Amino acid sequence: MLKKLRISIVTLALLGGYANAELVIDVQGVAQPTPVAIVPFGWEGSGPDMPLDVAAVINSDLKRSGRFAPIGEDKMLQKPTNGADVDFDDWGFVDVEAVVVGSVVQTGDNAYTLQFQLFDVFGRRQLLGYRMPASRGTMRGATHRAADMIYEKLTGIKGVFGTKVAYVTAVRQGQGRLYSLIVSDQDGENEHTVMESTDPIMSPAWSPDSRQLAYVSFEGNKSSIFVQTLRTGNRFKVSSKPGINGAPAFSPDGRQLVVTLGGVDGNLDIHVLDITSRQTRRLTTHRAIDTEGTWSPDGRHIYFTSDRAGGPQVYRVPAKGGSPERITFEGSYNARPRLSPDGSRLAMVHNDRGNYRIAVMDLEKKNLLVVSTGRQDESPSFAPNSDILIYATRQGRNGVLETVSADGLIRQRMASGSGDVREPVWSPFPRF
Amino acid sequence: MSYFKLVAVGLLAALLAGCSGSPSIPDPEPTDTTYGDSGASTGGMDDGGLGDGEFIDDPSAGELGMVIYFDFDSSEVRSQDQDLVSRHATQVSDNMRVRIRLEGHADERGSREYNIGLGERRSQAVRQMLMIQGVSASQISTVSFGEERPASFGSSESDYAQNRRVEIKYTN
Amino acid sequence: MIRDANNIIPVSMAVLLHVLLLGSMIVAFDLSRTMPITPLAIQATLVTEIPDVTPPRVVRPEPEPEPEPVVEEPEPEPEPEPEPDNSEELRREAEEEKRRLDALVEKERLEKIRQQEEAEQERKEKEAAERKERDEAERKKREEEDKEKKRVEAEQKRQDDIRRQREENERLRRDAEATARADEIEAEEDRFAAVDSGELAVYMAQIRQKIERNWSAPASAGAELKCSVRVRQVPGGEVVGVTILNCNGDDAVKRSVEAAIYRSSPLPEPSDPNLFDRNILLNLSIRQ
Repeated sequence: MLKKLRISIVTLALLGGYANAELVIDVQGVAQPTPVAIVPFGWEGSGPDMPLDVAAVINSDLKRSGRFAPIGEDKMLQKPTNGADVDFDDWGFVDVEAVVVGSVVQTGDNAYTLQFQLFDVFGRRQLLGYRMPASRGTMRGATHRAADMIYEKLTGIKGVFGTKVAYVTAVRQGQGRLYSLIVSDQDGENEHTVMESTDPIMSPAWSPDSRQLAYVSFEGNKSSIFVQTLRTGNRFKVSSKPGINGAPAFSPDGRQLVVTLGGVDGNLDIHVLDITSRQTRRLTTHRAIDTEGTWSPDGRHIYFTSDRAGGPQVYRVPAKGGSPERITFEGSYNARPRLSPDGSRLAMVHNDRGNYRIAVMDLEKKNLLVVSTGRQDESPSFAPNSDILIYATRQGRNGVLETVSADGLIRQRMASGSGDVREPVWSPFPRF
Repeated sequence: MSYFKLVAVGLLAALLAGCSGSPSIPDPEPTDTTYGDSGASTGGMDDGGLGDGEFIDDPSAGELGMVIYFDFDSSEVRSQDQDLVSRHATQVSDNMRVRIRLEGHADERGSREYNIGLGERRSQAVRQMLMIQGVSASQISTVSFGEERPASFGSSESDYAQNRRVEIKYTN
Repeated sequence: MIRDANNIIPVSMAVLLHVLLLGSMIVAFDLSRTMPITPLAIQATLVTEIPDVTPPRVVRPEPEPEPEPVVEEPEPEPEPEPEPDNSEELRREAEEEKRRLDALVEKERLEKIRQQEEAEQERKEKEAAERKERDEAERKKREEEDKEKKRVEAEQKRQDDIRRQREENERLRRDAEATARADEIEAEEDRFAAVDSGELAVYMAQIRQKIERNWSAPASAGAELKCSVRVRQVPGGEVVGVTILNCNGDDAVKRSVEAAIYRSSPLPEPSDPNLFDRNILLNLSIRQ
């Protein structure tokens, strides 16, 4: 009797961890790169090698995103090239959560089929499977698209592996420098020189359809704004008024540019230029420096830098005209605003205790997050998925490019051209 | 590459080969690609600091100084340079056919296009001073290179000081 | 560069040449190689989805259709022949006819007799069969009655046996219960002793640490993530079931949770086997 009583008391006094005959455990995780495996692709065609090491490109894309940790080939217990041969136990054994297998099959003289399948190892099921046609010239682009699909399936975020970046390089040449405007794949491959000059080139900007770049050129010892069609190399001068012509940026519909004009008296102000008619409409009149205009993705506002309050801060004005309204209040220097394509965030150059760094402001919550760590960081530009930024930083004497995730946690150095690299801009999603 | 384009490129290349070796337009004095050679003897300056820095013309050259320097975050012509500006003003206003270009510059810190603005402010300051002293507006053009054409490539305070400047170029 | 008005023409020509050269340099390149940006020729985004890895459906061959019956065409009717004239024939035919009819009548009479005899035979047979049936029925009835009697007796016996067995079982059960209760009490006491000594906490911590180590939370796992998962294990720690109960994360998060648990199999075993539990409830969140 006493025994029974004691038991019931202890049962009542039972502390956590033992409810209803079940262990209850709290687990706290941290974001880590997901371990995955990209198995070398199979190859069927003339010659010993496929035109592009597809698995290596996908591997590199996923790894560079900072969100995945692909395992090395030496760790793979099997190397299937077809979904039917995938053994989930083998992959579970090496602790990867997803596996990509595939092949490249030659179907004609310059025709191939790229095929891939993505598997969830512990769920033991296929997540994706696609087959795409490609030629030697388009194989890299097709591979990046495959990587985009894999990335989006596994993270829910749209991949940007198929996008491009444009930037300016300056290389010493004799007494002066050679400036080049370059476009490359976002992984640094496929560099194409778009424009070259012994006079400075500045402020490249992508048109919304990715077909054109606007930029400032100092040829002839004065600043002019050009719009150049990438495919043909044809360009036309859209603004060469007396004084400063600078800081071009396309409107969301691609028909207008916001530009900075200084005029003879050097009062820099924001103007909107119609590309077809070349007519301009003035948006600011203050005697302060008003420059670095950029459109909001909904086309309703233009954000710009102004030092009308003493030092540079970010302002915005309705695109149709109106009174500018100040946006940044933290810190003594905020300049070069750029909005994320989803309209939720604003990136800028921010002076943080003497260092010029990239900061990202949430437009709703209004909090500012410093996302870079250099002393002279500049020119932030969002990727079209609004999830990554590219910017220029310094390594010794030279400028180099880095990318950082919008939360500031994942940083990568971008391999880019030699010399001093600056002013990177990320292309929009390509429209086919 | 089509045959036509090949010929066109070849012709152009041949034509250009006839030009002078410089990659830009033949010019008796290619001043746009040189730095610090504008006559001011920057060599005379030591990196002891800018606090009292006076950029002295090289007296042996016998020429007018062609560069005016500015303090940090300032576009005010310093008192020690006002005499220099006056002398240029006299030179230009004496001859209506003389044209000058004022090239403004900034140090590398901060955002590029904003620095174009700072350089332009400096050129305009010199321009205003010249105009007050009788130079006609039609004789003066301004351009700003912001941080794009540094006179000195480093990141020290003395490099920055050398880059905050307006260069005066006589264009004819 | 433009120093002297006299230089304008050669200078602008040189500028033009440069622009043309630059332009032609760019345009002259093979467009698909060095030329800036050739949009990808791949149209129609992507094409066929490769079907899942599941084994293909067995396709049964369709039965062969029945061959069509051959329809025979009727032969065409022959044309009737013309009739010849003949009276001698007719007399002879009449005599024939009479003889034939007599034969028929005789045949019929004989047929009738035969049938009567047949019927008689049938009747006799029928009677015999009926008699046989009646006897058979009698016999069967008697058999049934005997069987029934035996059955009732057996049933009675069975009921008695059951009753006796039940009583026996009841007695055994009561004994067993008493023993089991005693055992349970002992086991509980052991368990509580283990809890008291912190062994339970150690065991739970070991499980927690292993799963945390193996969990690669994806970027989409936000600060507000809360997932409850029931894990079933067998002695030895092998995970045999994972059920996500409530989870406000996306598919990537859920996949990562499942993966983390399976990667942690076999789970650590407790130092005291009494602590082992087949069911574990995990509450997952992101470390802040």
